[in-house]
Amino acid sequence: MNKDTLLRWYRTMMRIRIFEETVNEKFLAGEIPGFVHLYIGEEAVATAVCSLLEESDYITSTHRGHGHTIAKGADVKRMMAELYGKRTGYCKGKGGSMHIADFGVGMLGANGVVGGGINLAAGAALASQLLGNGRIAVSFFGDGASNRGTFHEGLNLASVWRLPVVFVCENNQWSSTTPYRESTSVEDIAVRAAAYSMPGAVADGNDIFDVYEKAAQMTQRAREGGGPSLLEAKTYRIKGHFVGDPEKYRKREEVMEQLDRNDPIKRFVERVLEEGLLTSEDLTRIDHETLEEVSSAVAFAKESPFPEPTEAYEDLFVEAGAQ
Amino acid sequence: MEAVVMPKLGLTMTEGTVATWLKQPGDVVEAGEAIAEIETDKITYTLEAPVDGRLVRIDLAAGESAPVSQPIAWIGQPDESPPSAAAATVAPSAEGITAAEAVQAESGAGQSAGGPLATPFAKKTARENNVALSEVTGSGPNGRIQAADVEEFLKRLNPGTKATPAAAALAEEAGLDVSTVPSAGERVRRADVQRALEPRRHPEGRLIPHSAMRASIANRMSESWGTIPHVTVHRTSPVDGLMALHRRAKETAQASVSLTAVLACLVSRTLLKYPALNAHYESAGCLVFDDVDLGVAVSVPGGLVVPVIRDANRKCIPELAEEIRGLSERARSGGLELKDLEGGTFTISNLGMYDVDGFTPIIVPPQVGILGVGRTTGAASESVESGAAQQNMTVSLSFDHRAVDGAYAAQFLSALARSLADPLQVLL
Amino acid sequence: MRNITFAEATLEAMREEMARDARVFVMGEDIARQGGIFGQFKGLPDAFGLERVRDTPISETAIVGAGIGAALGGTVPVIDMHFADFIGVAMDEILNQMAKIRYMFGGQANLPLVLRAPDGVTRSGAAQHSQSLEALFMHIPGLKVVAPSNPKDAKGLLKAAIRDPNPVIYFEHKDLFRQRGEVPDGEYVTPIGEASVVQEGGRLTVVSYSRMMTQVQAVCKQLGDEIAGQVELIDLRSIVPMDTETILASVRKTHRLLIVHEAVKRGGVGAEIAAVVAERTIEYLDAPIVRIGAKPFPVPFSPALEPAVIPQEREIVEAIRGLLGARI
Repeated sequence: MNKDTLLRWYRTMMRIRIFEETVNEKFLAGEIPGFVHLYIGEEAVATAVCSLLEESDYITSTHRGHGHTIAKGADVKRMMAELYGKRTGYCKGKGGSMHIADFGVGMLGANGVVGGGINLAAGAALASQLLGNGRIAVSFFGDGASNRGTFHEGLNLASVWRLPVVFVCENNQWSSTTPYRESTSVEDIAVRAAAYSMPGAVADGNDIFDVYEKAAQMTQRAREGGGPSLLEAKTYRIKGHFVGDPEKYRKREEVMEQLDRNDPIKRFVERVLEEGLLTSEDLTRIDHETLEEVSSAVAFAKESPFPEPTEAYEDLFVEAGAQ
Repeated sequence: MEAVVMPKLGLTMTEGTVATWLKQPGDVVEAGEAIAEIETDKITYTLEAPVDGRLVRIDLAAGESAPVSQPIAWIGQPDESPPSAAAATVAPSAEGITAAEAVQAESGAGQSAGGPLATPFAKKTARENNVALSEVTGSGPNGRIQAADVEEFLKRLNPGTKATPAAAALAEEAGLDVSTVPSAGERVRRADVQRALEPRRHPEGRLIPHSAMRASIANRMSESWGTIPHVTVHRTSPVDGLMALHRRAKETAQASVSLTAVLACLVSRTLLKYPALNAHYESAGCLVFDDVDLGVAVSVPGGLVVPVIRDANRKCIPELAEEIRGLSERARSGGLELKDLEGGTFTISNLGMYDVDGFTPIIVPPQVGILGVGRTTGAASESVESGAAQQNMTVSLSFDHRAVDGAYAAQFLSALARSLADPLQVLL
Repeated sequence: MRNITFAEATLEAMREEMARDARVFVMGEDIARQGGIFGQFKGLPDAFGLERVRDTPISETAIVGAGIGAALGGTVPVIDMHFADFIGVAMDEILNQMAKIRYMFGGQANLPLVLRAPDGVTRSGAAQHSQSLEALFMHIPGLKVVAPSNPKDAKGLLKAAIRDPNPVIYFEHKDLFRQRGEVPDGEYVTPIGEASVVQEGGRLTVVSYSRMMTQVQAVCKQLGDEIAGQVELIDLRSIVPMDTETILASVRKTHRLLIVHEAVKRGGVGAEIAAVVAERTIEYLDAPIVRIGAKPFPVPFSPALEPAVIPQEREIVEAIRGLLGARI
């Protein structure tokens, strides 16, 4: 791994972490409306996978989509503005946290329906195949989505058509309040790949190096016309299902232990410092820059105007105006 | 509450029409009692009450149609109220309301407010024209007022149309725009509309073929007018004597005596002094008669006939009256025989009863003269002795100038006039 | 002008649009090898290859979802639903993805996509192959919905749908596929959102679309010139956006409105039209608005039962006679 990649990874992971911590704080302060789902603890997955993608490649995301959006290269200013419901947000205040998107960097949207993005990614890959533009698509989804029909239909379709798509299942152990073991028939979701004649692999989702290594094989396969693959990144959702989740379904100790032993950023820092790949100064500089970046994003969001009520009637169809 | 439904009176019947309601809301009815006449395209049927009770409501006005099995009236106890129209459907659910039922549906708002049932467009039309809907009769289902009803009301009411209601109604019935009807006065009247409609009814005119009588009259008149050089002389004469005689004759006869009978008496006797007028003109000469066989023109449906009184100059007034009455009756009933119509020597035609002043009668060939009698004017006096004459009559003599001349005719007329003023003159 | 079938007209539209725009492709169940159940895709693979004319697995969720993704990826997918009834399998993709993507992402994406849905009653298809579901989609903001009634509009509206940068659900009545009609030679597009005044009349507006439009026209013929001449006949063609102005203008002229569709009457397109007319021009109504639609039951199988649920010509005749009143 060259230093630039490592620095980029760290910056991305920290950007996600600080963004999410800030969102948590601002949501609890009542500044952000709606409901938000935080990606804290899962940063390594989006960061590693997206570092394998070109800007023109596609990703589809989930209700827990801030991390994917940042990792794909979106601007945190416009993201934060969207979360605040402001006109300067990516979706002009029409989407919010659950529908954050930046089509400009191939981020085809966070999706409020579990498993809703899987076939969209397959379709984007189909378009790339038809147009021959070499783009690939990645669909991020959770362990819960792997039990939806969209997962099974989408993997089958992608397989029979050898679509250039990578399915990335972020197994964060919890389908909302239900443990994945109680809701999923297999220990490793990756084995489901076999049913659709595609490679499946399990990665340590909190080890960015492992995720990167396994995802790289899959993105390469997609680019080379080999068809789809399924990567299961085993990770852990540090925060509740949503901000404000009382989390009665799990023990606090379990979460604290994960934070202590299995925080992907902590594990990354320990490794790069131990192996002398990056210096403490490198990391501190990025910490400060990222804090500054997110804090100015909040300022930008707060200063931005709300949309006019009549803007609610725009963007339904390509033609302007209410229908 | 029992629904009275439109009965299905045959396999193919889909709807029926109420011709008349024999019972009205509020009437007590017994099961089996006739309550309405139902018409289909094939038959008329008497609809009987299905149960005992009181006719609570009628949902289908007379003249309106409804699909079979649709409730058209409700029978119940006086304190019961029928279901609303929407709930009255017999479809499996409220959503199953058929299109036909929807057409019949009431638009509740108008009624619940206590006002008449009217469509929104009717209300708008009424409001814009300041018409009170309570004055308008609805022609729609359930008596619902439709815009056309308001327009019809306006047509009758609005002075702008300058038509009487009767004229407006007739015009609408005939599909005629009343404003296009020419009118002599300020307002178009019914007669104006009728006139305007006539040419529309028979733009080419109507051919009524000649009856045998008409054809015969036409031939006789053409022959007379075409061959006889007519001259008519007129004289207006006091007739107090005639009228007094008429009164006395009626009293004496104890029966109805026509003025024509009195005239026939005086004319036939005056003719004896002017025999050239009691004659037939023939190519060889004039055939003059000693007795007067007097023709009397009688109007009958479709024309006129001229039965003849034989020897009128020898008959008294009651005899003449009796004979004229008999002939007239037979003439009107078609009972005249040919011999009743032949051989007249002079003719009287009295149109006085139609209030004509006078006219120029056409001679009945081959006779030489005919007397036309006009109306009597002025008030009747008690007696001829009482003083100046107060009543007048115009008599007109048409004569064949080939047979006689004007002076002769004038002298006859003068003599007749004297006898009309004083009937005793005929004896002098 | 040529006299061709409805299916041939849609096939022409596909050929012309696929030749015009290489981004256009079509996918669905049994469309390449079979040519579609109604022959509406026959010959397309020979002309455009199996890449652009794709048989799919029986995976409606994936077909529609991938269609949406493909539209976002820069192609113009035409998706065949086989039967409109199967839309339910992909309902989330339509309801939560297709209809919302442009709007909830603030206009970042265009979604040029056509969902072809053969609908309606034909040959005792029974409950799961006979439905007319347009009202469901009329209710979801973000979808355009069209339903042609004849070959000419079938072609023109399909071309317009393919060119439209928004998702369009194209309902094509199964019973119409074999119907023949005049289709103009050469290039034309029927604009989405414009109703067609098929016949002018002064005393009754009849709004219909899809197969019921042909039924209404048949009824008018049957009723004779004197009655039919009083009827203004509007073929709605587009359910969304709806050409309400044409309907309102007509009702203001005739003062009477009858709406006829094969779909269930309750909560149907007719209800929407009736409500719009009542809201915007009730003062011009001189009779109750009458709707004719299917009774609220699934479509039964038996030929003895199907007509009891689906609107029949007799009902249309009665409604027209009833609305025109005693004068006829």
